[in-house]
Amino acid sequence: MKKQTVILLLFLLSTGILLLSSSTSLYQKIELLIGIVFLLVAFYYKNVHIIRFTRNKKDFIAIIFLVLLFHLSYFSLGFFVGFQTNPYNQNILGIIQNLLSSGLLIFSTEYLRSILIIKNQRNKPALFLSTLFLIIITIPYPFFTYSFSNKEMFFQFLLGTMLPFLMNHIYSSYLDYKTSSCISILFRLLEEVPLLLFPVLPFTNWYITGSIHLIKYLLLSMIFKYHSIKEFPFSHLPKKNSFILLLYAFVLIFATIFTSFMLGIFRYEPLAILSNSMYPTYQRGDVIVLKKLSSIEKRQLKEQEIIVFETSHQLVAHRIFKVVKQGNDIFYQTKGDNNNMPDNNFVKVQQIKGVYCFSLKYLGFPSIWLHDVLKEE
Amino acid sequence: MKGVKNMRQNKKKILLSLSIFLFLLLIMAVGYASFATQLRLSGSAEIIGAWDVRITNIEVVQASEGTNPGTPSFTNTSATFNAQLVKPKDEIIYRVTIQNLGSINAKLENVVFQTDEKTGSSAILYQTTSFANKLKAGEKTSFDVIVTYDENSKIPPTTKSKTITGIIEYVQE
Repeated sequence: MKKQTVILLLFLLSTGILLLSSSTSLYQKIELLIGIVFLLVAFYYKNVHIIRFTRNKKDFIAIIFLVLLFHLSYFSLGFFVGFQTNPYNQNILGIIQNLLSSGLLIFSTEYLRSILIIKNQRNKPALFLSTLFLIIITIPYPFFTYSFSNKEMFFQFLLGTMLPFLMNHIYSSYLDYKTSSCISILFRLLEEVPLLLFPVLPFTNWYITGSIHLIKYLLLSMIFKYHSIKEFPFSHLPKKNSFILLLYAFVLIFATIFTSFMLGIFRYEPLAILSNSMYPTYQRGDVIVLKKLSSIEKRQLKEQEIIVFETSHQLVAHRIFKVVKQGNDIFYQTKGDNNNMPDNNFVKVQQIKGVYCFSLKYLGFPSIWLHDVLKEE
Repeated sequence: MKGVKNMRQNKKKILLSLSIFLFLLLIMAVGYASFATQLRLSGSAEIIGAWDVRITNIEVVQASEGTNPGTPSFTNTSATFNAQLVKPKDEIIYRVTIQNLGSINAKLENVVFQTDEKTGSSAILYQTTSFANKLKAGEKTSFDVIVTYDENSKIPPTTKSKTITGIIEYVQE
């Protein structure tokens, strides 16, 4: 029996079991059916070599290193942003079902990708069209069920879900083209399987998801760019190539630090100012940098200091007008420099996020414009 | 020569991809900042201000014959009038003007008018008209307070007065 036939039979058997299982969701069933179609299309070209194995060990090492680094960074984030229970089924049967389901889909997609790339004789426009085709076919289902009436939600969906999805396809094609289909399958399996297995996942938001994927793909690009130069170590590289690598490294480090800063992982955190209530100290469009405080420091604030505190639905950065002590409790009355009256409610210590350090002129305007556009009815 | 040309093209591609990467990263940061830092728009709870929305006038625009509209007065943050009505159907209309004298655009956050229904005279009725939701720098808006002696009130009221309190909250747009 030919190798292709064995693969096809195994695939059909697994998907058949999953399709008949009552615990398989509708979305999973649709994905599996798509997988079957992919595989059948791929088998139509039965004369092509099925899976191309790379003989270069460096490819494997590079991809394993990259995915390990990604998971390490991703899970480390949980120590800063908190952990949540993994939403995927954690029962043995559930895990097996999820692994089979995603494994089969990854396999069939990458298999078809590989066939398309080979069939088109590694032609670049055909590579682009093949990737586009696979993107359209495997587009995330929320794309069709999402309510896009809310512009803010649409923006977040675009950058937090669609961008990683697109990058995933682009880089899978890139890997397949540059190395082999085996590497692209390995990359996707290593990337997705741990997320199904771990009982907890970092409590991420759309920004963390989008950024970490962007950084991951930049790292991937850098590693394979370096890899294609096939010269090691850095000191042996021609000057021009080492410049490119240094540039990559610089952008990577900058992106990591910048994203961490935006997320408030460091002690200092930026905030865009929407109002003029503190004019002339700072005004609408400025970015202020606040320093986070310990619980003890929050109780030792003095009049005239500018604090950033949370109210029910927003952050406010106003100057302390009066410190009120009631027994062991401390309250702060605040006032905007540009307001003629103090704020209505006293600020509790628990509401305080940090103290104002300095402001940067006009840097917040893009955020404000975007905020205005997305909030428009 | 061909090698040099390839290297240049390669370098251009890399620079382009890095630029796209940085651009996307920036867009995400801008978006994140715009959702995460909805800093207040801090105004105050009443019509006031240093920033600077205030009452600039109150005038009598209509008064039935025999009534006494008194001399209404105002401060930056409050307007006061004392209407004396004589008989059913009597009506006095006061027009209050609010102006944004500051350099910051304002928007209407909250309007509440309350009358003391429990202790006040049931024969005195109040109505208010609406006014601008947005007040750009330099703009002004007016609203009317209409005081009426209820025409259905046939028995002379035992309580002869009734107050109205309005809180109009403008905040920076």
